Amino acid sequence: MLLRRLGALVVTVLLVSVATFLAMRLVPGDPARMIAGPEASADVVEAIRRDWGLDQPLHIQLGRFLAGIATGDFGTSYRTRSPVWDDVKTRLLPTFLLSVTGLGLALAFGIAAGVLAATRRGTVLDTGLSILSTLGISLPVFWVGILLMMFFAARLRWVPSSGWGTWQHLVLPAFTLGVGFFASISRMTRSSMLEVLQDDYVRTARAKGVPRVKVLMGHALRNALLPIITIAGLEFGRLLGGAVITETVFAWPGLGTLMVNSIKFRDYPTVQACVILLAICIAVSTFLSDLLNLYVDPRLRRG
Amino acid sequence: MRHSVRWLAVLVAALLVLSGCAKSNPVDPGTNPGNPSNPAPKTLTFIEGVDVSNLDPAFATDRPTQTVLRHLFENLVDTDPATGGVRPWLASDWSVSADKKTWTFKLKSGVKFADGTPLTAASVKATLDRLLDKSLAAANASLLSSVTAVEAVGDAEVKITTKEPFAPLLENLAHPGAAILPANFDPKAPIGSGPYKVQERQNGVKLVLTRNTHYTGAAPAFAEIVYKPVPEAASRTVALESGDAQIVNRLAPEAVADLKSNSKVEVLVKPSTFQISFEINNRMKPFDDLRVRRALNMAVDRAALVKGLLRDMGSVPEGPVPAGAQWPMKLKAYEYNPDQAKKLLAEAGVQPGMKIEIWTSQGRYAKDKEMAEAVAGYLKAVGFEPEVKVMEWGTYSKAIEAKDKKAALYILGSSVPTLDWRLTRNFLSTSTNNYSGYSNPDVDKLLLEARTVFEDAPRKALYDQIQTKVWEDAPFLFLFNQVQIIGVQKGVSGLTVYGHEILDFTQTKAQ
Repeated sequence: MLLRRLGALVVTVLLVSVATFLAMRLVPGDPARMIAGPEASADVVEAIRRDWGLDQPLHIQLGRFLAGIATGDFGTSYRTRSPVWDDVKTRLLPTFLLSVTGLGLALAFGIAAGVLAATRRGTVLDTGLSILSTLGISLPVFWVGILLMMFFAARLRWVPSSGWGTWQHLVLPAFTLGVGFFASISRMTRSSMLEVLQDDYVRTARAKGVPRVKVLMGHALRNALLPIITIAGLEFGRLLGGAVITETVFAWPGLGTLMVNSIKFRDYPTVQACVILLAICIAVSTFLSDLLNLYVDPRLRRG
Repeated sequence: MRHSVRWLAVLVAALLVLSGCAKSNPVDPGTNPGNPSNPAPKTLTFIEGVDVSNLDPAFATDRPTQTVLRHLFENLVDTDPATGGVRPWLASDWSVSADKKTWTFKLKSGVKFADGTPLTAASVKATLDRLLDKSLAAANASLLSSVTAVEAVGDAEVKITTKEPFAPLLENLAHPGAAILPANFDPKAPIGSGPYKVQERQNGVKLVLTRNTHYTGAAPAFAEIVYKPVPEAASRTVALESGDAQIVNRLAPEAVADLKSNSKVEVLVKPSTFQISFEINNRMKPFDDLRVRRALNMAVDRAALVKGLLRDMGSVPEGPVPAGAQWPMKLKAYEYNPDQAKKLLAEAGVQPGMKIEIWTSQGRYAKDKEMAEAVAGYLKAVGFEPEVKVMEWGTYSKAIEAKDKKAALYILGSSVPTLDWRLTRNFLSTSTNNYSGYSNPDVDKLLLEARTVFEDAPRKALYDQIQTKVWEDAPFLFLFNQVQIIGVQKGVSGLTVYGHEILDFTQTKAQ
């Protein structure tokens, strides 16, 4: 099963590479003009086009690109003129840190809020948490980010407003990123818990006198967690490439902003490398969440 | 229960380990100018909108990168904003041969690169030959398109030969793309003779410059410059308010009013070489008719657009060359007169209800899409039936190059500071960058003539004539002149701002 999934991963990445290559070339625009800058004359643009092999037929360019990635060479960035891998690799840690912290915060607060709301169903607390999560889903990330920044960086000066370098830099973007996901996690935990709490085994456990906390955490939550783990795995993969707005607002040096900037500049090699990396990350995190589900739910192991 | 606790513990531990990966350096004294106990910071933190693209002068085409280059390298000559001409830099003196085709530059003695090796005539030759090298395909190669040979005479003299007499060569040599490099220049570890050298570069995070100890000029006040890219304008405003940087470039016009009430910061509004226009498709009927082009220029209330859309952070054009550029000529602004515009259109036989396309980028220039929509409204009021097409910049910049484009009007900024390049690329009929198709034999003649005049005053007189003719011919719907909006902490002084949006920090001080 592991081998088959690994094979599927390689095929997916290959398909994604070719699709990205073609998609970038279908988008109108001229990388040579972008490299030359708006002030350059047409003969300079032509010289640049020849130099980068952009005047070659498409199949030859594609062949070169695939031959490159087969040997682990993503090419040279049009914008920075350094190997693409050098530009991309420095983005991995920030992307990973932001996703993990944002997701971690969302999971910790989201699960706690969900369990609280489920066990105090219909109370003021439940209604309050429900309002909070509705807000979390509907508030635009951009707005939340700027607001947090204005308050905690400009007014209180507790943390730097943007950038990367210390753990303080991570606080605001992680919370901003976590807000939306917190909302969906807490809602899902609440409904999942409510369902599980009505199951027979919970009633049995209570009937035989298991302490309330142990029933909640050991019996109910463990079963309620399964769909949450699956969602978290998918979400993690998405966050790796999809935190563009948070990254932009906080000038966070992640993969998302690199990819968006590279698309704007028509920096084909960098865009291709980013997409391939993200495809790998999403495939791997989905795979890992499946493994985690196996660990949490022994029933799945037999199947 | 035990499992979930263990699971949580693993997660927490992982988080702690990961957050430990980030370098812990909580308070950088240099970046905290608001702190009174720290009177003279050593570090100048400067925030821009984009990251430095690359540190190879031959390929640096964006202003933020050129700002950094200005601190790392020196040119033979420097632009002089006071006169519009050039002044000595690495070259102490220069002369032109009788046939006006050979330039001789005398180099200052004792100049060294940051690695201690001397800057000689051989370095200059190597630099210019590199830029001319076809196999490099340099983005800034057009700077030397007139040059046929570069020769080093001894250590201190360089001869540059051109095909034809070409006076603008001097200005081109002042362009950041023609910065003088060592013969063994390596773009990965760039070394120049400027007041600073590269200390550290973190892609997308920061670029740190420190004083070049071999620099022969006066040492700059700041020992260190930290360049940080913050793409979002609202975040840049917060960075200024929170004191995270002493100088923040490209503030949003919306932020200026708020910042004015902040006693800790100051907003500088400076003229720019950027003039934004809706270029008119001069090849398309009826826009080949001068009356129609003038009518377009009279149909739009620019003052209202500058006030309403730009919050007064811009100005109404008074000529085809804005105040920030070399030798601008102040002409009479086009008056807003829709009735006169309608009359001119009727005279030219334009039927009311004519469908036209207006093309615009989005986010490339200040409020470009909004400008296009507003202009469409004004043109509708004088009888056109405009349709606005919005394109993303990469697509747009390619589409406007086509001779048979469907656009009647398309937005484009002009940024070149020097007049020869600025005016020939836009208005010389044979120029490959003349996307509007404007053609006036008189202007062509004057443009080429100006290249052969080597004294500033008569040359400037020719450019005055050209500007007047172009302004009357109305090849563009001249829209507005951009300004530079720069935020600085109170107490920061000595910042030099060039019209072409390059900043110079070598004289900058902080209290």
